[in-house]
Amino acid sequence: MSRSSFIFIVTAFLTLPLAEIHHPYFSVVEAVFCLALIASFGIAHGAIDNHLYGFKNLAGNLKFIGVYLLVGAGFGALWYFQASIAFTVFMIISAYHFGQSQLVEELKYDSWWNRGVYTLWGFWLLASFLHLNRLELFELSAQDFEVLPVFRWMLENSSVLFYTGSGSLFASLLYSRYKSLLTWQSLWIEFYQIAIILVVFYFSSSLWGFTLYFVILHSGRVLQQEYQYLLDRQKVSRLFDFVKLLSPFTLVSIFGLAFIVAGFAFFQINYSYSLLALVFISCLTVPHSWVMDRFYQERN
Amino acid sequence: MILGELYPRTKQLSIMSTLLNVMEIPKDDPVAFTFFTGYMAMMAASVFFFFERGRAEGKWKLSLLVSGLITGIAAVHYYYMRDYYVATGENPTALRYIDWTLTVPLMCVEFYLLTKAAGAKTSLLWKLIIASVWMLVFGYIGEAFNPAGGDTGHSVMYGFLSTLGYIYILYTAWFGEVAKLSQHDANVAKSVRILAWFVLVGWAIYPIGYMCMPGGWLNTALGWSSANVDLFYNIADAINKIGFGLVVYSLAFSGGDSKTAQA
Repeated sequence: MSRSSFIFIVTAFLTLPLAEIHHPYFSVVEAVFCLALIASFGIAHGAIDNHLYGFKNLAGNLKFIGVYLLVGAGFGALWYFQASIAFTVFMIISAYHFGQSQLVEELKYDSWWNRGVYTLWGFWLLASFLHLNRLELFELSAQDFEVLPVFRWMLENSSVLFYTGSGSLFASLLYSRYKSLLTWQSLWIEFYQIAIILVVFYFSSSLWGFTLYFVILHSGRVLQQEYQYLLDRQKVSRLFDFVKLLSPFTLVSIFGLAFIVAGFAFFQINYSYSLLALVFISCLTVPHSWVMDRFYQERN
Repeated sequence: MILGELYPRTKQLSIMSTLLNVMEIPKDDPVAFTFFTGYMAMMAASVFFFFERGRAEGKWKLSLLVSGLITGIAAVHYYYMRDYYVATGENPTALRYIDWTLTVPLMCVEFYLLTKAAGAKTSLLWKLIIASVWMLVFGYIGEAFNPAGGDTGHSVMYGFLSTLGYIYILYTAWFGEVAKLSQHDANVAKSVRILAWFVLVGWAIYPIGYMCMPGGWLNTALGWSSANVDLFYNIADAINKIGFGLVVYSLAFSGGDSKTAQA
């Protein structure tokens, strides 16, 4: 069991009863707390993509950042012209990325089978999140259905997606064990985590459930992998160096996002904030997932 | 026949009536069923561990004795708890916690005994015992002093405090001193890992029972009944106490490395 898994399980145990607090102030505090965590840890885990890519000099670094931003901007353009396609692509890429970070240390060897299992794991995660929070998500995103009919379809068919995803994931993990790609220990830990994730998604609010997964199990795990990688290559020697390395792009991204949101508010651009957040997150996720895939391949 | 020879007719009827009351298990009451099954299973496990202790190598005798004591103490408490439950239909909270106060620290002793040969110090034993007592004391306050009708705030607060003790033991078993010390011997490492799984999965059943108390969080969230408290506790006890002992038993008879294992 990794430390991030342990922290996730323990935090889930300790915070599950919070789901029964229905005070309106609590919702506000929860929203602020969750967004702060997602912004800090979520952005931070992608803030050293340039270092993970392994640039050699300033020109290379600038070129990398240029391409990174261009890919992000290109995906933003896809959102503008074909929102449903952009959303679907974002879901598939996210599924792969979430699954890869979760299982890359557990599944031996790099193969197309493993990549399929990564995608199934992420698909199961997203389907579980949608299915177990469908009523809340329906209410929260009703205003976005016109732009994103595919999201409405996903929510309406969440049970099919959830059961298909669960069955496929279960079968693929068992098959991986049968083929000795996964140890018994890893298999049981995975099943245990899957159970805890389901409990968290079922009982907690959608925001807290997602935050708990995204901040601890995903971002925390990736940060741990990144730190270990840089430590092994003597690019950092202690945690403080690592934080220093993360800080510039984390801060630039947070201020940049705040600036854009403030701009939308100032110019009174009538746009759904939840959709806006989704667009920004996807524009960062697409190039980040590509860098992480390359990072995992080279590291292994 | 023997009863008839020893006691007068009125006394016989009184004894029979008491026995019949106690022995009557309602068919639709899984809690009563698990109390009786739990009692028999614990007693049988104790007999098994005590007898098998004689066959084990000297270094494993103490561990098997502790395993037998854990199930033995539990069996005696279950004997009283099942009667209490059948007679009153109430949760035998005080008896339950008396049982745990004795048996849970003994389970921590098992961790210590397994890793003693690898250099575990008495301080590890005390840390584990203090954490288990912390866990139980706050659990007891949460359950025994729950206001009439139940109070979610009360149960959540003491449940939270109790969980901190659990987390300490969980951490020690998976990443801390116990996990590190067990690495010196492959067999011990394997057994400690299995015991750590018991703490992670088996011990996690107890909070489910705790959260079913009147006003408990699961009752509020799922509309469950407080009768489930004892159902979950009985299942958890059977899994953990007997299971813990069986892991130690299998280690004792699996040819654990005789050079290092001095439990």
